[in-house]
Amino acid sequence: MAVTGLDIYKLLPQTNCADCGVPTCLAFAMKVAAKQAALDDCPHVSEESKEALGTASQPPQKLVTIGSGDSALKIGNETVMFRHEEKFHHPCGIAVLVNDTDDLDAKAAAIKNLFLERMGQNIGVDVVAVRCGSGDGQKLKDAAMKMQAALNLPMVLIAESADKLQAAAEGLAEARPLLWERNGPSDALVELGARTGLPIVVEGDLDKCDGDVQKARQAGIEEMVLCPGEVTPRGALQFLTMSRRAALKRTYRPLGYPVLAYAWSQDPVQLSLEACHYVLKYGSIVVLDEDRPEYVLPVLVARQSVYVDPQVPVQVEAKVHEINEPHDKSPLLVTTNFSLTYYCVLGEVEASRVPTRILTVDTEGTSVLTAWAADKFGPEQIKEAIEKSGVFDQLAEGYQKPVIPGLVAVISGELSEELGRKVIVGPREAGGIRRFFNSEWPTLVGS
Amino acid sequence: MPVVTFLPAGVSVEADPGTSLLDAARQANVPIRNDCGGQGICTRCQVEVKRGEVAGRGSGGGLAEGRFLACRTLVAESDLEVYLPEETREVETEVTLRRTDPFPADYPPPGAMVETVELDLPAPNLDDNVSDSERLVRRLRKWRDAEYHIPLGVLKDLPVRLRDAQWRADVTVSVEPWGSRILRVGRPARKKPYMVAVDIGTTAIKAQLLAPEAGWVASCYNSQVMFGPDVISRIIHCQRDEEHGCPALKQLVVQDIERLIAALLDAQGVEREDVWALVVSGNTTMIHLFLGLYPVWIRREPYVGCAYLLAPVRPEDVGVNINPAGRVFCLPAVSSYVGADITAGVLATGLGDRKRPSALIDLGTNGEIAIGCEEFLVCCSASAGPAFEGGGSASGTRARPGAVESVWSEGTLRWRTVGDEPPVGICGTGYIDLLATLVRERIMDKTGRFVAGAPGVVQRDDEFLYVLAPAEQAAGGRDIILTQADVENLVRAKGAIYAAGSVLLESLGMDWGDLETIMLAGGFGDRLNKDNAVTIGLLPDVPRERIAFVGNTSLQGAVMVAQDAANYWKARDIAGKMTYFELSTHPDFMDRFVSACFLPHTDTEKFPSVSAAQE
Amino acid sequence: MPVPDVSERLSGAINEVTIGATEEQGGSRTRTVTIGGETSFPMLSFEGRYPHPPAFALQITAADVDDWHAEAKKHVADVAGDLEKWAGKCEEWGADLICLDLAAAHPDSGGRSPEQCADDVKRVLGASGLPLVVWGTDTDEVDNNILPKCTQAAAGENCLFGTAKELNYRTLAASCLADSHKIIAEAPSDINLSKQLHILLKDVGVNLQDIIMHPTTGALGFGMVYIYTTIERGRIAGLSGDTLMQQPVVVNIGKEIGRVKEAVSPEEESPQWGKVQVRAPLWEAATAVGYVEAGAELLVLRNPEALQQAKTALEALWPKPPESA
Repeated sequence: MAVTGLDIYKLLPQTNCADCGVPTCLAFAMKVAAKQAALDDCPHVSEESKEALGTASQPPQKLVTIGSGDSALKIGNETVMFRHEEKFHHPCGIAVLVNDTDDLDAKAAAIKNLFLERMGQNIGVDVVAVRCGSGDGQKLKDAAMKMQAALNLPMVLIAESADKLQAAAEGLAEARPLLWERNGPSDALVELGARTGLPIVVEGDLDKCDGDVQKARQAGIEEMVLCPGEVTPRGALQFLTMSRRAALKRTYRPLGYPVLAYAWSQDPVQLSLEACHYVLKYGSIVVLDEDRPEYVLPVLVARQSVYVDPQVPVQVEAKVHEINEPHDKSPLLVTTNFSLTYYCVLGEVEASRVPTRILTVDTEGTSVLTAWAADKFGPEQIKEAIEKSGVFDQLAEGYQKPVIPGLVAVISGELSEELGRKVIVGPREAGGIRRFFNSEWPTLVGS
Repeated sequence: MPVVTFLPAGVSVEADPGTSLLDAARQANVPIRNDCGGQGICTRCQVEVKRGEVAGRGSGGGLAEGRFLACRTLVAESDLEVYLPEETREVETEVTLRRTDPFPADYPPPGAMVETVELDLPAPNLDDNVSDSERLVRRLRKWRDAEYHIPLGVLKDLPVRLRDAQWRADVTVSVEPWGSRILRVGRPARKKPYMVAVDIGTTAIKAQLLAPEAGWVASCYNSQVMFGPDVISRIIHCQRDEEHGCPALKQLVVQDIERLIAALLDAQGVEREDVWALVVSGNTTMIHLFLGLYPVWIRREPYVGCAYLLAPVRPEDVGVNINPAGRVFCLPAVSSYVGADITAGVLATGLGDRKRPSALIDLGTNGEIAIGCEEFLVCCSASAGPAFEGGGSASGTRARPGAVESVWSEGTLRWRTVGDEPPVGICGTGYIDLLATLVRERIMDKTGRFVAGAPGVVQRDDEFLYVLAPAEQAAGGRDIILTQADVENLVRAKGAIYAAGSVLLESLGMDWGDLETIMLAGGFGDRLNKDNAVTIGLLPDVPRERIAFVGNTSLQGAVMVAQDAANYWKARDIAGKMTYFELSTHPDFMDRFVSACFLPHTDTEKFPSVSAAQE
Repeated sequence: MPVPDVSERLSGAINEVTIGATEEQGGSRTRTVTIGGETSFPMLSFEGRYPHPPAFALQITAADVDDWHAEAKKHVADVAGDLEKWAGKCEEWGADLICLDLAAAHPDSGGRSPEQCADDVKRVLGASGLPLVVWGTDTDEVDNNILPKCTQAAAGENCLFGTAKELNYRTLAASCLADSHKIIAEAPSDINLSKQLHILLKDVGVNLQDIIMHPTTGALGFGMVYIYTTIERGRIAGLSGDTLMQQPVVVNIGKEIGRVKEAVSPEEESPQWGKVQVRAPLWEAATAVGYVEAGAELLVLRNPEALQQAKTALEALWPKPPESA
């Protein structure tokens, strides 16, 4: 259950001593509630208070780490059902399946080919699932070792029974692979997991998972991943939704673990769509038996999208955006790099079909008025952005007149002095851009 | 150097070529109306050049023939005669005096920030031969145990004065954060030290004389308005002109306060020498400017002011002309955007003493909200803008005689003005009524857009606007209107206030309905129609008896501090206890703001009484 | 301790909206399409109803298709320029509805007159028995000019017309009311703006049950997630009883795909992304499936291949009501 700032405030000394670095106890309590500070940061908090808060603030879904070192995958610890309620915290792992009977070099090369970058982020495949297709535990171990050496990615080791996992688990224990015994865990796997300290998969319907998790916990296993097994997408969605709800809304700890979802579809298009669907709906590891980029790419992009923090203002790149193929007599609109602001302007400009340049000034993702008030969208900043972009070089004499949002009309005089050029005050809202282009713009540039 | 003469005042000033007419007027102390700080935007500073040649690009662009923008028109080589039309002169410099209930004859009461006490001192002798100053302090400690400081100026003639008073002296002391300061020692005068409480608003300044049987509040526009309507524009002015900007703004506000004090003293027949203290409230930027503190970092992340908790200063240090031995006290602020005015408001309304949470909403230019009770106090600022104070609107004005203060419908729209004088403009309460009535009559839709063809709606320059009173009825000979941009500003302002309050409450896990009282403060009129304030969604739809209109609590708080030093400590306590919420980075604020930018609100179920009335 | 029952019974339901009118209903459609009616979040059959599968419309237009990306264009190359033929094709391709895009009315795209547009509507109605969606130009003056003629031309057919926006809703609302059509209310990715628009429409007489909302559309990787979240938020509100958020959702996906490099960049330019003939339709289908996960019920596509892919994927998800075949 969420603990509010006021709840925490009641546990504090309420002296407003500021020893924690925050001006008041309530402000500190709010920070603790928002997980931006720890209760321990208050040097005067009582032991009883710490205890009272301790149990309430334990995460309802366990954090599980697979792999080791820089490439380790941390999953779980999710706090919400819908991303706008806070955010999805730990991007799911996307795993490509490899059989120990495959041409491993070719597989490794194919997976390497899926290390993709997009919008400055590494979005590639980040887990390898190695399956014991041969039925020989030693072969599984060799294949896993080979993939480990070639890719150094976290691994899921899959076999029909615990004994086939043993060699690989022991040989690769340092690399912390996730052990998935199909339809497991058997007592043997629980024993293997407890002995090696490796995370294990608990497979089955919710009731089976419930029981097996409690059994494994008693054996001393802490990190587990649930899996609904071979079910339809509909069944998987149900499992994913219900286990997450039980954990988050009821704090039901036996189901408070991340979930592995396997895309079972045979047709590669359907497999890709199924995997996208698990990425959006609560999968923490999504396994695909597919390594061709055209099928994997949408899954990777879906993950990148859904794990964006919705509470951080999204910024677009601060630069000149060219819309509708502008030429040297096209208008130059100036706005902030707050994505909502930019997309409002972009939408109107596109709809107008007027060739236009939009210069987005780096205002750290704040809107026009906020940026102006905080001295991030003033004459100096706009001048600097214009000069840095060199956009005037692309504009004919008489058209080097930036159009600024009407909301900051007040800076037009000074900006004009700074630039030594006329500055045009545009409409207050993006909605006025089309009318501006039709009626005012032509007269302002004297055409 | 060319001489510029401003008509009809007939005031002349020498100005360098290249000086704007607006700056020349400022140098000549001739006020020119101007809402944008001389940026050529607001077109309020229109003048007519009657004689001489000017430079610059102050004409054309939609201005009437012969009209120039003073801010964009420059002095050239020749002498000039510049005529200021009436609307340009509308910055009233004159002070409005209003009567209030007079204070009792024995006012101020004991325990005020500055008070005079008559003391009998034992005369020194060979056994009891401590120094005069120790003798005085020893006696004072018996009267009130504290640290006492005797400044050199008082010390110098202390021996003479004590003996002159034959060891029975009046001692005037002020309360200081560290103890007490002795301001004067002398023969018993039987005259109490008077004080003046001041509220420096972004738009208007008010002052009240605290003296026996005094009953006056004086007010005027804040002359800084000519550098822009909001605190941000004024900070920008300081930033742009690092050398003169801040001093110029300081001088303007000090001059305003001087004029208010003069009016108060004149009305009551009191001498300046008798005023021993100024107790000043106002938002953080206003207090900074009053003291001449450079305010620029207030607007820059992470929004930090120079000082929030201010020690008393000498009158000459700020340049106010009261008894030179007196003191100037500023109330403490909480943060850069929650100022002393809110501390004062919390004090005046007793918000922090209540058993159950209540809210104080200050509908000033900055729009601050405080919520709390004896257990906690939180606050935030909503940067509402000056819309409800009449700033930045086509026909906006502050609450003064002739301001439209209420509007209602009897088939057609009716209105009344303050003092039943011919209308000069619309003040805050008038705007609240007007919006509510126009929505109710479906002359505008719930986003605030005028309905084409509705009665009173006309189209000018491609924009719809509403004519409340035609020019022939109005005092200024111009239509009293509401433009689409005015509505946008008002809706944004009320949306910001409501959204800020909602987010603050949500952070506490509360709802408007959990509040015992919602107090609306501000100087935007005296006739607040609660139903209309709810109809436009400025205030939540709670039982009307929970809504209270509390007036200018900033001034009230300053008065309370002045007359009772205990309140000085309480104000500091309040400022220290209040938790400030920064909304500009709050993830939910924008969402709540958008939902509140609708009449009354996007979530209609939150306003059942309004929906019921509209069905 | 048994696994807790976490199924949720929500107090609200999404409106059921039918598009199209058969002969008995005063129109000439061979079938109608009903969307909405859900009582739970998408596809959660264990706790609520999802009585109608998401419906798919294919877009057709009298404007030229030069700006369509190659993988979509190749399917329509034979029929572009002939609305009637194209409409017939849509039926073959398995569309549930046809979406006539009126872009051709824009002065920059040929400036078809109101009469020509009305005639286009009539011809499409004549060529196919599918219910019809008519989508305006995104330019207020043009829309106000052409849409009243088009609603009139389709009177009795119970079409879906769009789009009404906060700054331009009165004309379309009045014509949809006069000619008994459903209306698309468009508000850019913000549930508050959507709700405000619904209130405005209600204030001019539009029944809230006749509104389909369009929170605007972005493709996967190109703005989809904002709108996805907007739809989710609206769905939570609607299912919790907010009548202003109980309108089904339409997204217009087809025209967005061309913006996404990953979807349409040819192999010679981007070999690392694999085959473009796979990527392009798959991207459109993945975008559609994603929107359905958020709550969208009506999806406008361009690529018939994508339509098939998305429908197949959704069959594996959609809990068919027991009584239907």
